[in-house]
Amino acid sequence: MENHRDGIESRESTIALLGNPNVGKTSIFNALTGSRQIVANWPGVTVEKRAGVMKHHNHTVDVIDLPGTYTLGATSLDEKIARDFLVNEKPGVAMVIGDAVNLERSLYLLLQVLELRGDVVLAVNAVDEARKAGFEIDRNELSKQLGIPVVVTSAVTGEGIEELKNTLVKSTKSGSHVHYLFSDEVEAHLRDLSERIRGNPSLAGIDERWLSIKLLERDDEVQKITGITLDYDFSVEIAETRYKYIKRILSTSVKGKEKIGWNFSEAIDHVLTHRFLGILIFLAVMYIIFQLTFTISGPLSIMIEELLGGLGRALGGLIGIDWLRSLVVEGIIGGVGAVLVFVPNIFILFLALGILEETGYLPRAAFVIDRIMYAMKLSGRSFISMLLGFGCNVSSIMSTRSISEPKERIVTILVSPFISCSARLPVYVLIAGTFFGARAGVVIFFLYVLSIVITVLSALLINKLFFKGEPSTLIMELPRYRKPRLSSIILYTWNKGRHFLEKAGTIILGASVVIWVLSYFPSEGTGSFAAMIGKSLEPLFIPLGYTWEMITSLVFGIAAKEVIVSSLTTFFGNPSVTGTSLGVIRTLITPEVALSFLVFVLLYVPCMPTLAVIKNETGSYKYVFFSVFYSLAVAYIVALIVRLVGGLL
Amino acid sequence: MRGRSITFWLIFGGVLFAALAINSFYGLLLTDHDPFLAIIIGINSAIYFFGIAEKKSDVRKRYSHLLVGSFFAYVLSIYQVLVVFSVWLEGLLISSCLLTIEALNLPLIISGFAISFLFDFAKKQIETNNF
Amino acid sequence: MVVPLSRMCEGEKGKIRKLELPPLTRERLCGLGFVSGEEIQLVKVAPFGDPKVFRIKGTDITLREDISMWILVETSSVPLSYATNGEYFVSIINGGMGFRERLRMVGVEVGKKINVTGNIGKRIEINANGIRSALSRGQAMRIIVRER
Repeated sequence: MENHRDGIESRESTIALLGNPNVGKTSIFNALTGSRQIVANWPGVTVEKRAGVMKHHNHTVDVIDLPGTYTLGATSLDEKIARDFLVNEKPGVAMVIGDAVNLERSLYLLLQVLELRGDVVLAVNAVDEARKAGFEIDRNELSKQLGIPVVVTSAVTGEGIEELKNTLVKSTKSGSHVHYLFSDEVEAHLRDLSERIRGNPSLAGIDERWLSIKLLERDDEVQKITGITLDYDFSVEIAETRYKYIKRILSTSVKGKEKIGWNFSEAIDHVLTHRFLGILIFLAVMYIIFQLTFTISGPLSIMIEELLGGLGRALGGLIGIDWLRSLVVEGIIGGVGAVLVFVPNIFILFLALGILEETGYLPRAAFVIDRIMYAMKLSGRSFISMLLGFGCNVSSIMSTRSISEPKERIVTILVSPFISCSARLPVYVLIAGTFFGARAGVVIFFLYVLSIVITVLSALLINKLFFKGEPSTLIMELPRYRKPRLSSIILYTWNKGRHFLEKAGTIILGASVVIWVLSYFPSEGTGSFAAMIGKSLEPLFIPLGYTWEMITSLVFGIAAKEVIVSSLTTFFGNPSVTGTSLGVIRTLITPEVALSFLVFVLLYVPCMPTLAVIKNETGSYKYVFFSVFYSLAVAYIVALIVRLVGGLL
Repeated sequence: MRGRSITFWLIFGGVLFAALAINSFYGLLLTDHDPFLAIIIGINSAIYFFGIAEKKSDVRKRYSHLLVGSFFAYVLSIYQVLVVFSVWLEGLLISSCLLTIEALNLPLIISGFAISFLFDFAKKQIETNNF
Repeated sequence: MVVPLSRMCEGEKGKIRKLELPPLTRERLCGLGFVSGEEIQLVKVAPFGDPKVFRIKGTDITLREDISMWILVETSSVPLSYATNGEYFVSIINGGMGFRERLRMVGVEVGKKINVTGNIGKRIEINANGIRSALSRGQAMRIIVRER
């Protein structure tokens, strides 16, 4: 990142934030940068990168939020990103944010950073909680022992933030010190290795002691760049030495006795992870979230529909040219509007997810249903993402960001499209209502059950196909519960929602125009290009028995599945609120074909925004193609089976 | 709060919400017939009853059931208020009133808010006492 | 006694002895505090028996059996079903009056000595108070014993 303000490239004015997950790093980042932040991706990967600017006393500094990690090894993508940034970009200040209540673990990361470089600042956060738990941190003593500035903060109360900003803008250059020595044997090895490294000019910018330590820890990356591989492994001893040093520091810098007995978090956990109540409460929470989403978004969606309708009429009245009017009103506003109507739904779901995450309940929910997910070679965390899929597949795929295991993430992403999203519901209601009357409800329920079954089976199949059927590892922290901050939740919801709008909005806009063109020219309705496409594909669908109108609407449905409804009504009848005006279709196909059609709609190709997000989140087109062909195949086969079996009944 | 008081409040909460659950399930008094909501209210009731199942000597465990049960009740009340508000808003938009007195499920809303005071109390007890 | 982490009793504390895991996993756990000599406690078991929540260095971490069975800890209590041959004290019996009564009839009572003479297959052979008997795994899971 460059300092554009005086045109000189200066990495000096960059502060990098590091810390364990769940220590409040994001809150500190928000406190330092305010709303001056942008969220993007680290290049080439799908890990969130948060960058912002801190303005304090005439200083302007870039702040970058590195992913939360426990160590600076290279065992996970997050660690790699954090470490690479420190090593390659060499930010002016590296600030480690620690947790006052779990200082020991936070210091472990700090020591790893100190092994690498100087100019480190330690911010001990959540100091208010530490006090409540009965201990006091002597920051002066801590600072003396570590040889770096130490500030105690509480992102919640605001304590120490001002002082932290002051400390960060003060420029004091310092090299890295050695804080502790390992055993004689290890130190001897370190001396040898440092010699060898010193001779290598390509490693000039990196602290040689750090490189040597990493070599003794058998770090893959470091072995690669130094070209040195050892047969001995001192990682256990090195880790123990660090912890011993930490215990020594803490014995003098942390005062007070920890209160025995339960704290608030433990008390809550006793019930929320209770052997019997845990799952019940989880189901209750899920029910409440989904019900709320549907009920609250109801009126909001109606409002949006009215607004768009009004806009359509207004613009329609203004435009004189027929085709332009049709393009704007039916094509653009109609097409994009179909997705906009879902915006309240999406935002509320993300809001709910944000609250669950901020309060700390999410890991507990994952813990409680993990065993069931394990049978699918997934974990509890995936379940949460999949649940979002019932609202919109795009949001469920976007939410897989926080699944730490890459294999699991990809499987979850690839099966998400089979979860029956809310866009498919209007199609179900229309068709089922027309063909099955009072029994429509049963049919729709069957579709949801089928959706779940196919999702589960696909998860197993895809895991076997791509990852040899190995289940992912679960090492998950259960952080303390905390009161969610309104600003954090709003920021979170806004970021995620905006991402959804950008992705879905741009794709849908393009697709809507294309669909409009195809159905308007050369002549509207049965003479259009769209109809030609549908008719040409008819032979392929003979076993299924679909008419060309249905096929065409399926093609359009690729843009967004709810478009199927509008396509069908355009071809078959006058739009009406109840949808039974589609009566004419009953003369064209039989009930089992209708059911098979519903199954096809459920399972076939993910809609375009979903495909776009799949590409985005997996980073490769391979998975997009797989998704398209796999879902088409599954849809065709299952729909065929349904038709044949249905015909027998 | 002595042991016996906790037991009282646990039984009180459990019975109250069991009653509310049955109420919602059959749509008896001032409430609509809503079997799913009834199940959720029943789960709240279960939180209290499981608290009674804990050993009497394990005060902290019993307090935690009181704590979570009361908070959950509070959440249910807020949920109901939001649902009602949305239904009212929707009715406003389509120019026909969709609300009835029963749809409000007043017994649930009132009980939830009333018992939420227990939450603050239980929280204080847990934080100030060393269980 | 040294047992895999997955066999600890709920609420019990132990000391980590060894991590028999691949280096990558070991390093990840190391960053979380899983080192030799560190105290670890089994806090909670999930509804279906797995995963479990462990407290180490003040933090709660969830682990499945596929990892926890490869971490060896030194602990003083263990469910009888995991006890190797030797002499123990019965410290807790999880069960109702009927269960305790049946156990009392074979000499198994809280606070009394119990000798494990065989632990293979579906039964655990014991000798308590001079009475030789064999308990099923299910029964043995509910009896917590402590080393002398």
